[in-house]
This record gives sequence, structure tokens and C-alpha cells, in this order.
Amino acid sequence: MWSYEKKLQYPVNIKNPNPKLAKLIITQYGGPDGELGAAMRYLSQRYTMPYNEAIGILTDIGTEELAHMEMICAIVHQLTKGLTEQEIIDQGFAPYFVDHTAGLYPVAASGVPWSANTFQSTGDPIADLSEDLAAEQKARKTYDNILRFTDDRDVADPIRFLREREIVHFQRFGDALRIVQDNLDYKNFYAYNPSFDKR
Amino acid sequence: MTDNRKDALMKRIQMYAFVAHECALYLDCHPNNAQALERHAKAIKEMNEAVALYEGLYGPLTANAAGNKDWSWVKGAWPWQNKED
Repeated sequence: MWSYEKKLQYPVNIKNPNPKLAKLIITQYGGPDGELGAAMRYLSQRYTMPYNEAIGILTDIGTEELAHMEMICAIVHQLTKGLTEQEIIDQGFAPYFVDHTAGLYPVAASGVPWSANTFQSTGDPIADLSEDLAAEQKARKTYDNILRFTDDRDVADPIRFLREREIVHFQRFGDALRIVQDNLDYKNFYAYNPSFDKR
Repeated sequence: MTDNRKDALMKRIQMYAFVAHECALYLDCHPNNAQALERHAKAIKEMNEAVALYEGLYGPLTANAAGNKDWSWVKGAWPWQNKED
């Protein structure tokens, strides 16, 4: 089970609202490579992951992704505070605003709501961990793209932290995949599925 | 293999953690209720004692409690696994 800690993993203190930027960054909440999907992916996959080290990685990274989701929400929240109706119109925030006001709702930058269709839980450890490696790179890519449009240091600083975490997670999933393969038949990793086939 | 003492200790932790949680939910909207505050504090104390005993005997319940001589976090069963696994 989980318990909540009343702190962010890394501080978020943004002075200047910027709803145009918030509309991009919210994709890391509800978008195809976002933190919500990441948390659900890893925390779903761990039940059928066969080896303790890999279960530990999925549990601990999945938990960290929940903390990243909170950071993204904090960033979006602070970027959309105290807006005037004119700012909402001028910065293209009106379509989101009309449905959600300044509430946090998991959507992609394109406005498409979050969907479990953005991830898999295959019950096959090599397939799952390979997806996880790709997922970390896709999230890193999104942070790189967000940084192209971010000239506010208050925003770029926590975004850079989150980007760096994707790279660390990629490394750790690589370790986990290696451990899974070390437990398998080195002549044919696909000879059987260790989380399903009896051996 | 079942360990009755381990199960009993875990049940104790779950019981006091649940009492503390119920009190916390009530206190969220009634933060000055002396009786709930007292029950919460008592449950936390009992829970912490049981957790210390459990972790000493059977391993960590959180990753923060895992690192002594070795990384015991990835040793032993996970909570969703059957006892036969």
C-alpha cells in the first residue's frame, strides 16, 4: 500500500503565470508519454514480473512517477493561477478553461484525454521491460520538446530535473532487463515465458 | 510455509494502521476533536511498535527501512503473492 508525503520530490516555485506553456506541459500529466501513464504502466506490470529485483524496480519507479505527476500538476497549477479572462483568450487557454476552469484534468497537449490505450501490460517480462525502456525515452523526448518552448527558469529547472529522471529510469530498466535475461536460457531468451510457462 | 507469528504481527500492523487512517480521515474535517486525536496518537504508537518488531524479524515494510548490511528490499515475497509462490 501507499502513504502520502506532504512534499514535492523537487521544488516548484513559479512566479509568472503562462497558460500557453501550461497547455504544453499538461501533456506530461495526461498525454501519451506522461507521468500518469508511466505510473500505471509500471505499477500494472509488476504483478507478473518474475524476479524480485525487477519487481522492486517497477514498484519504486512506478511510485516515483506518481511523485512526478504531482510535480507536473504543481507546475501547471502555478502557471494557470490568477488569470484574467483576456489572458485566457489571448494565450489560447479558453478551450481548456471552458471545460475545466483552472482544474487539473489529465489531457495531452492536443486536448485528448488520458487513456490506458497509451500503454501495455503484456504479462511477458521482456516485452514489458522493452516497452518501459522506450517509454522513458519517449518521456525524455517530450521534456526536451517542452524545454524548446520554455524561457522561464522557474519552469525549466524542475522540467530539467524530470528529464534527467527519465534517463536514470532508462538505465535502471536496462539493468532489470539484463537480470531477466540472465535468468533465462542464454541460447534463446524466448524459449518460454517465465511469468506464465511452467518449467 | 506459514509463520503464525509473522501473520499475527502483520495483522496487528494492519489493524492499528487502519485505526490511525480512519482517525486521520475524521480529523481532516474535525481537526480539533480531542478524542480522535487521542485515538490517532495511540494507534500510531501501537503501529510503530509492531512495525519495529516486524521489520526486525521479517524485513522492511518500506524501502527507507531496507538498507542495513544488504538491500533487503528485494528479498522475500511481495504482498500480492500467494504464500505458496
